Amino acid sequence: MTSDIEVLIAKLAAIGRLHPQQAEAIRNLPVQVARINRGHDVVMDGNIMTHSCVVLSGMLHRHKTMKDGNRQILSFHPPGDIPDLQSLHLRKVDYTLSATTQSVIGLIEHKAIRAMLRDQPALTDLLWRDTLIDAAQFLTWMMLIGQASAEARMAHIFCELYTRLKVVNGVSGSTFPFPATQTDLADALGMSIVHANRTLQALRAEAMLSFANGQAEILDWARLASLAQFDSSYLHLSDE
Amino acid sequence: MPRFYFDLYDGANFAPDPQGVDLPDIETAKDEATRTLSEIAAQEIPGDGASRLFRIVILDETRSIISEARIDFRATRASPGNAAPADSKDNHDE
Repeated sequence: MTSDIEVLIAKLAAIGRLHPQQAEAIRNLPVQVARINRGHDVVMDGNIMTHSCVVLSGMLHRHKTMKDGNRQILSFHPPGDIPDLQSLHLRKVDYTLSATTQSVIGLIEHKAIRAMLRDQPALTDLLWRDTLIDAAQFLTWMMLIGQASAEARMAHIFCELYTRLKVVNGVSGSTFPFPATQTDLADALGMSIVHANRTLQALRAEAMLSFANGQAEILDWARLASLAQFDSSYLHLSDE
Repeated sequence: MPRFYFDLYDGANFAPDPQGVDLPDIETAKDEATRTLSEIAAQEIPGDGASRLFRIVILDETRSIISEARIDFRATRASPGNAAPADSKDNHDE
């Protein structure tokens, strides 16, 4: 199994300026590769962490569960993301990180990340920028859940992932993997499973979006993005 | 898990569910229908205050009806010069 850390380099290059010697420092990081089955937890709420992980393939999501059992998915993480980068400074995590689908992750010890940042201080700025973009995505997510219609929320989550995958992961054409179930989408968008299912059927009937078995196809980007009121500026892809 | 179908009626507008959703049992299906109705109503009703009737019919794998739930929204405005709301005995008018 190859640990393809290049996906992290592609992600960081997409959100800011990455010099060749910094890319080399990332390539030299000691990475322990692990395969995670669908539904398994990578990090659990309350864990004290000594390492962070890079998504190398598949997809992870952060979530929290209320005491009554209702789950809120907070974010989805395609390859290239470091979903628990916060644990470098906030060692006790306050969410659970799980595999949305069968995934491969690269575990990197915090002390190795710290050593790299001492050698390449400019990388600190880039990781800080990454964390701020993470926060910007939460702002947008919060606005959607509070204010947007079910159709707009659903359309938006697909617009966001498609935009990120195109820039970071080299997705071309109109199809892309989104290995989430309808239950995952419902828990991410704050709606019932039936409502999520009906919303997807409506978007399909309107010839805007098709989604089945973890594969998405954008049928009409202009109308989908307009329905979602999608403006990619909050993702700050290569706008430095 | 058994599959359930959730046909939606929004007034005279009928939106069948050709796809269905796999759920553990009928109780979960009923909870899903209730939550879906309240979510759709919360989104649709604030429009112009007009009366709306939302109905979800749950069907099983053989497309037999097993349950139904509805939200019937009506807003009543007091007539001019009459500050009191409509007489409470008029509220059950079916």
